[in-house]
Amino acid sequence: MSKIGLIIEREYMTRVRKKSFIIVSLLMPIALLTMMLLPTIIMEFSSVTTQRIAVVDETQNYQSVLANTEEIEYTLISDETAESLRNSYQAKGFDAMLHISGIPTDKNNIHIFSEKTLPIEITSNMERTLRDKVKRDMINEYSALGTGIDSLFNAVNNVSVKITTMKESAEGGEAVENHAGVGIIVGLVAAMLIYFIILMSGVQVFTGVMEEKQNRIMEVLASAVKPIELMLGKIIGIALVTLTQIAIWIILIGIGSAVVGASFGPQAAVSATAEVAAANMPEGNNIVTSVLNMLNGLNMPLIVSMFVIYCLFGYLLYASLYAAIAAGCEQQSDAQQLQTPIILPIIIAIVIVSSFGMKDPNCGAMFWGSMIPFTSPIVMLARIPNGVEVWELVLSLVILLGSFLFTTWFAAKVYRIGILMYGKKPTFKDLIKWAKMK
Amino acid sequence: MLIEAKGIVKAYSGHVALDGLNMEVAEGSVHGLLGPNGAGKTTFIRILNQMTQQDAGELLFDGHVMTSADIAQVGYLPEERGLYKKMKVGEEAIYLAQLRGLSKHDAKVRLKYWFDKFEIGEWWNKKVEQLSKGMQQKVQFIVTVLHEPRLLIFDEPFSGFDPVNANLLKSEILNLRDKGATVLFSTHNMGSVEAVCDSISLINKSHVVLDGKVKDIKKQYKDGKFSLTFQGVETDLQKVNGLEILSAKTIDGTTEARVQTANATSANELLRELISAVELSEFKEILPSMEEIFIQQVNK
Repeated sequence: MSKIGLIIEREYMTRVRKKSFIIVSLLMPIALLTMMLLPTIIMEFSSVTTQRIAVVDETQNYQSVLANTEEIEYTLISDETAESLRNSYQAKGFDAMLHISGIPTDKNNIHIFSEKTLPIEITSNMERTLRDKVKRDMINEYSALGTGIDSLFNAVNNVSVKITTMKESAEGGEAVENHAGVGIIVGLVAAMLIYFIILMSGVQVFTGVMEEKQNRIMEVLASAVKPIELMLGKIIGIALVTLTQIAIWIILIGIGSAVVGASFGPQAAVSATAEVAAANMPEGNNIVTSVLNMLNGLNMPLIVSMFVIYCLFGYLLYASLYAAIAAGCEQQSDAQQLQTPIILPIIIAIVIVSSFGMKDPNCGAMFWGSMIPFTSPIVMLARIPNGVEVWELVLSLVILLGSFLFTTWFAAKVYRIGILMYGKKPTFKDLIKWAKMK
Repeated sequence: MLIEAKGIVKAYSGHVALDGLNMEVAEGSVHGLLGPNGAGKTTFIRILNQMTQQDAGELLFDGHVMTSADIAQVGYLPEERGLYKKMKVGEEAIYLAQLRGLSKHDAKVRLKYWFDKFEIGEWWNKKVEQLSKGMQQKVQFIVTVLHEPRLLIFDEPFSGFDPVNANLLKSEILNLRDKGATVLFSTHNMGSVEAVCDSISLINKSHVVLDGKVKDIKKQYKDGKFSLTFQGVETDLQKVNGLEILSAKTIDGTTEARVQTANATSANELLRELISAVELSEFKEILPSMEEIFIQQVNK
């Protein structure tokens, strides 16, 4: 076995056998499941407040599919224009007004006016209902269109409806645009998860390298193995640990949601996985189905694959820098000053996401945040579920990849010298000097 | 020659660590690398280990230019040494042996032999942090020599050892030499140099200021001091011309004295004169200790 393989094996095995690894592997899915399910569980047990919604459908085509449920009561208004009803729907006892002015796949054609943000289940229920209607219409018009079945299939698959909520400000002034949608929630969760993973595994690389300095084993290793092998072995080993952890999380969340679904849904899940269970059950019959239905409008394969890619390269970008800094330090306190510039961009990314991402995932701050390599893994993930242009994605990935190659190259040069330095607390000047050394 | 270093130069930004260092180490010898702190010993050792590259000069290993491929034939016990504290002793020893190129099976067999020899076999499944410092040092020593390298480099090997274990280590080092290994031995401990080294290089301020066989160097630096024991008193020695008495002590008519001859009087000449002057029972030339030579050279 090659030496780098040995190093990866050791890094992996010593970490996976730790108690803390097992604990985090178990706790995280529990926390996430609770977070996902808590609102629904609360709703399940609390009395249902029915939202009364006035519907103005200028096309007359979609109102018919909006059926009343326990939570929503639709009232079709045909004798008043949206413009005038907008000022009076509250006086008439409605919680919100739904305005459809054209085909709902164009987000300019569909708005909700409301003082409060409607619960996500309600908007997503509407979006789903309308989306299905658009799909049915397409299939109905299939013969008239005269296109092939493949293009129909693709067209139907790509149908997505997103309702823009126009939030009335308290002073009764201008309407504030507010996309509160599943996409945003999923984006936020994904961004937080990447933030957590990068920080957690980056710090593992950091403490791992510093441990070798503190233990004084570094020079023993460095005389047997090339420094670059030492550094990459550690980074890859910890990446595999993180991947293992994520895999455990996914499996546990899958099992967990199936179990929770079974205990809440009337028709106990016959099948093991949540997805199959959901498919077997009538819509809206249990929590799992409602969660899965909410996710249904999103391009999940894209989100998941991008999550993995950004997670990996984001980690590699930061891990190599963490390794470079730790290489020169013997104590945690030596590294504090050097660590700040690494942690800062991660914090900035999460601030951008939490302050701008909620309002407008495509605003300027979010755009630049998703291009700059040190923030892009976090910020881009918050944007992807809400839809980004392909060129943006490609550009962001190219920048990230280039930066990862650069930081790894830089880190390897610093690391090689840093591991042999003892007794002096390094400064940034030292790091640059080391990188320049032959 | 197993190692030939010719004109090795290594500069770090601002200071020159090695300035044209020349050194030869014969195969099968124990060679001491001496010098005060900051003289460049560690830099040279790291170049030997291919951990850093010299800026100029040539380093030959067994006659060819040394490359990282030769590292498999080198065992290095650095001054800054340690082990992963949380790993089990046996597992860690196997890991380090594998990094040195041994197969897992070979590593196990050889480790068993060494662990028994050093009487630490029962610690195999304990965590490293449970070991005393001395035992950890033993493990480190074992891992250094396990792959039977042709060149062994020990940087301050005795630091942290109690006298009993230091002796064990000393005899193991000589043992390895007798089996054909070449040992490069860096230390401040001059006592151990005389006990172990066949030859030395003394580095000071980036240069080799003194090198050669320990015996030859001591002869070269002898300065005409002798110790003698005879029947009689101190004044009896005054019959011998040009003899300066450094110290003398008379007990029950027997005197022990340390004397200094004026010019390059040989031991035989002095002995001849002494025999005619006093009843001699013991006579010995005092060679300077390596420590004295070291201090003298470094302060020059």
